[in-house]
Amino acid sequence: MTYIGHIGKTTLARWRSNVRLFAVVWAVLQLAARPRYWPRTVRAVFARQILFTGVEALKFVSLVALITGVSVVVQAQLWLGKTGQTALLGPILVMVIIREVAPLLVNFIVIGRSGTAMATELANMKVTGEILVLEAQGLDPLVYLAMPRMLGMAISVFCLTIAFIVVSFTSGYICGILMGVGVNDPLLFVDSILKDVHLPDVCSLLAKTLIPGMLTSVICILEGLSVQRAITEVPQAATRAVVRSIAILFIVSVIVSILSYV
Amino acid sequence: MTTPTFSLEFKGVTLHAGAFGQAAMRNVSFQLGPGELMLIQVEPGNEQLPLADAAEGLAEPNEGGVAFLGERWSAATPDRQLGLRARIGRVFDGPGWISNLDVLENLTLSQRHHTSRPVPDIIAEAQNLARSFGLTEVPAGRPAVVLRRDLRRAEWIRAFLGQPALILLERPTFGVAVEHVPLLIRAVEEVQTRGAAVILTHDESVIAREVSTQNCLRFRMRGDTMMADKASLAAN
Repeated sequence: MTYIGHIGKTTLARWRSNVRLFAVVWAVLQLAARPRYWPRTVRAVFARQILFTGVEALKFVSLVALITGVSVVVQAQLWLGKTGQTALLGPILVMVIIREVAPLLVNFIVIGRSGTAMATELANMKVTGEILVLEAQGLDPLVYLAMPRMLGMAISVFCLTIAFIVVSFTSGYICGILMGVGVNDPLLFVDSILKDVHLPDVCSLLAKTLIPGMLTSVICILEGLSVQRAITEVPQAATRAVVRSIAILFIVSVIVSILSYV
Repeated sequence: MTTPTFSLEFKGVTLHAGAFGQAAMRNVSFQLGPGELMLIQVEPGNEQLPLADAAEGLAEPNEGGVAFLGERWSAATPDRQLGLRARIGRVFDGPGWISNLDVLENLTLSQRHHTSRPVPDIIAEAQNLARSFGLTEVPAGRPAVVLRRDLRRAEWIRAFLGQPALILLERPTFGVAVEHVPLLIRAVEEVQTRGAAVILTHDESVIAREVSTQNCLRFRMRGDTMMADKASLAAN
């Protein structure tokens, strides 16, 4: 009975936590739709978030995309050429890179790079009383801290994923040329991919970048702000934030994949 | 809409001791009008009072109620509360800085957030205040790299910036050289003349000596009770 009670208690706690997560996302989206919640201070935080999560991560994302392009795109060209199925190059690359690999890897990089930083920063702010300092000056933490971070991270994940796709296809194409596999004409290569990009692929890309981006940032914000006054709680909050973010990333990816193939 | 008679009003406010070292306050009632200064001498060991948090509507009283500019915090909407807090300047008893902003950004944060004043105007006002408090200019860099004595005076700048209706100064001279205290008192007197109410908590006799008796209500903490400082009133 105690064991069942423990399961019930854990399930309820998890349920409430997820309800809170989606409630915060919804509240932030509502706030973001109103121009009066975008004073210059919030716009500055938004710009900084995009700089930190998007622009500064571009080098590393490009490197990973380059390696992915060499390993996946070249192999796809090589094996499809050997089996005489080059017509499948477009659909396979769209399915593998655009739908699955690019959003997943970029989200992983952003969680590891910015998610932990965000959770740690906010946890430190809570421990040192900085949240109270903001509130005492009439700044709503939801508007000043959560809103620009959530939107900044979501937009950064989307843009980084586009950059990832472009770099991986480019590197795959160039490497294929150097290895003597695949199509030589760049326009033909681009066309073979673009003709297989359909509306469900675009929707899948948007859903797999914007939704995890928003959820990851709110998870990191909530976990960061969940600490009380002990500095030892900070790394614990960061760890919880990463674990929950990865879990929600996989859940969202699976759901979107299933929906896009239905 | 009528102009409120009192800037700040406490009615039978009881606040239990905070979890983080704040002292308790029991049955506190007072009315602070525009241009009035309330001087509260705190007891050694009980320096941190929840008074400023309650005055800003950040700490909900266990009993009683607090009204700022005629509006009870408990009845104001969250948006309205934020708007009201924008009209309060404060020197914090504890750490009062956002660590990932530099000092100037910290000082001007509230003004940049709540008003559409041009940033150069806000910075110019901050620099003028800095000079009036004996600083050559607003300290540069993040708060972590600024000397504590300069940082405390920089907090004075933030409290007085933008003509607030209420200024809460929690032990503002803590860590500041004695020769700078009159600069603060002069600034307090100036804001009083333009109608701002001020609450100043202190544990130093130099403050009590420097402050003039005009429009000044003096109190002393005794345990969790705030009582009118008759001794100092008689002395004045």
